[in-house]
Amino acid sequence: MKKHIKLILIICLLFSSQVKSQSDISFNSKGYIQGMEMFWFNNGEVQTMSTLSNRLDFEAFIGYSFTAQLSMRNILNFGEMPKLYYPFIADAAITDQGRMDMTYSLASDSSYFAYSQFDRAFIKYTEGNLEISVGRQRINWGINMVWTPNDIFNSFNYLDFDYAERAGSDAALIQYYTGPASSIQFAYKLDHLNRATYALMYKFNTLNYDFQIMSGKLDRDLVIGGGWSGQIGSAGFLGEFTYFHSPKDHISDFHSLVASVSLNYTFKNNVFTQTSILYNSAGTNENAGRGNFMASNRPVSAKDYTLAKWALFGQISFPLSPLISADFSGIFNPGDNSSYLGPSFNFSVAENFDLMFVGQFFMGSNGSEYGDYGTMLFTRLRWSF
Amino acid sequence: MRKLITILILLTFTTGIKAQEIDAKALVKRSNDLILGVSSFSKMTMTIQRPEWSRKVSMQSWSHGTEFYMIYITSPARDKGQVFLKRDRDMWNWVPSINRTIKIPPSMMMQSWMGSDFTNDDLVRANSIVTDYTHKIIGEESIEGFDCYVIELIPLEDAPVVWGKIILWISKDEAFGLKSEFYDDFMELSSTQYASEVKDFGDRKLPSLFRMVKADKPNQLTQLKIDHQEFNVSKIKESFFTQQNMKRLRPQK
Repeated sequence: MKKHIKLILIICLLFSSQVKSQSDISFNSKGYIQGMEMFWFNNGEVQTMSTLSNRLDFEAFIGYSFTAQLSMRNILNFGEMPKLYYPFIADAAITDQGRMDMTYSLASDSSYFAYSQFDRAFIKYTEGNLEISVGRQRINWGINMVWTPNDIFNSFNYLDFDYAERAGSDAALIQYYTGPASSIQFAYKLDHLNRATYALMYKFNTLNYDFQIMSGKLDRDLVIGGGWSGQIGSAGFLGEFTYFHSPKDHISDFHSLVASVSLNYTFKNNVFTQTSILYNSAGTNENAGRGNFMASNRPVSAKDYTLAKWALFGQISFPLSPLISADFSGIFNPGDNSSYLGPSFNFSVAENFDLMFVGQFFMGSNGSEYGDYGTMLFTRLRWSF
Repeated sequence: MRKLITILILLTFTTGIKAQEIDAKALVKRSNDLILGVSSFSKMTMTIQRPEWSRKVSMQSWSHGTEFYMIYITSPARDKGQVFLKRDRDMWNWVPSINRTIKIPPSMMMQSWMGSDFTNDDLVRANSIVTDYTHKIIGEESIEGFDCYVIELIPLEDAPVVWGKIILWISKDEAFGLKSEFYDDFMELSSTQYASEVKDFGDRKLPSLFRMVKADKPNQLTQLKIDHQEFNVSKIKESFFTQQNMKRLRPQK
């Protein structure tokens, strides 16, 4: 922990030395404070957890060449669930997935836990078309909204709706812009087990389509993939695929192709519709459950969004008024006939205050992908500043 | 955004016989050019006004001709830092909190802009008012103390436009677009835009306040106020409108 405080100090020093030499410096900050209540209904029981949290984002622009970002979350969890699942929930929350441990437990007991986490801490250097970023950052190579096989650095769990910013990677990213909408990127990341992920990507735009191709290594797997974002008529048409080639010298190694294609269309009355399909060559058509309820919020890898062979996603969202938006989305696993339904409503209760109600209904037989999670209801009030 | 204004202005013009058609078209174009400049930078605030509440969106925009522009959202806090980039027919949305660039498909262009009575399309395609319509002068009227031509715009066949008809009021001398009526495919009035508060923006004067009122909801309105505007800014070239700049764009003081 001391080491990282040192690192942060060094970053700050670096900044301040730059400040002296460059007169053109500016800062940007934003964030939010929120309270969230979770109700979990399972096997005829109700359990609850309360969360108070805040997010702070700081950016500094030093001259033309340097940008730095530091972002942190401060979180307090309390209620029945931290007590019932002591110490597992707390332990999972404060386990930092990055190479550097930048998650700090502030206080904890058998009934609550509080922690701080830095999920962005990087410096970016720009020289003409070249940009180099070093530190904890989000490298987001995905194209789809739900399943993103190209997102090998920061793949995310779609169901974790309360963490849109997602975790960062401890990585170095080199980007060279070859045109107004094209670039070459190379990224290298280390995780908490010192496993490396690195890849080269080329992005370009032609015929009103964005394309990308990539190749590299995700831990032991050779990776090759690509994707596009364009339109059919006036509907959005996007997709991405990644092939993972495993050395196969270990029992847990396997090759797989993960692909996802999406269509979206916005009607004139602002009704937004979207559908996605996920194919996972290594998946099963049998029961694809992972068991433990905490798996519903686990960190994922681009290789294992699901244990199933196929997954279907559908969504419709629309404004009930300019202040109220409604969203209905669902996932269906055709192999084990389990499904997820996620209605949510967002109320803009005042300028900068959002009140959100989210339901997560999991349905299916025991052992199926979504059969063992029960129902979760959330209510969240957020003040953004 | 400037395009929005342009649309409004253009809308204010049009209609006529053949000789008039040329005049009407020229006036619409003049009005449009006045709003666009070769390039421009502006700061503006949009207010969504309802009887019981209001919400504000503030932004800064950079444009070059009609093909290139960028919009940086400065408030509300929730959306601050988001950038929209348009290059010709391509449009992207940069969302810094998730570090992702989203390509905006054509159907999303019809979605209302940040919850307002304006659509993304209003922002991007306003220029089509010159090229996608026939223009005819159908009358004269005084608006806000300015003598205006009333110009009717009828879309050309096959033109990719959303309106059945547009009526524009454009001031004769200054080419200010002071009022615009938008009609749907059934020639029913859909919304009306009013421009007012002519302000000196350095090298030119222009209306600085635009109000959009829906015909079926007269007590709802979206207002767009231009706080600052510069035209023909030398550093705003085509080469400014890149994905690299979209991600490193910073609001100006």
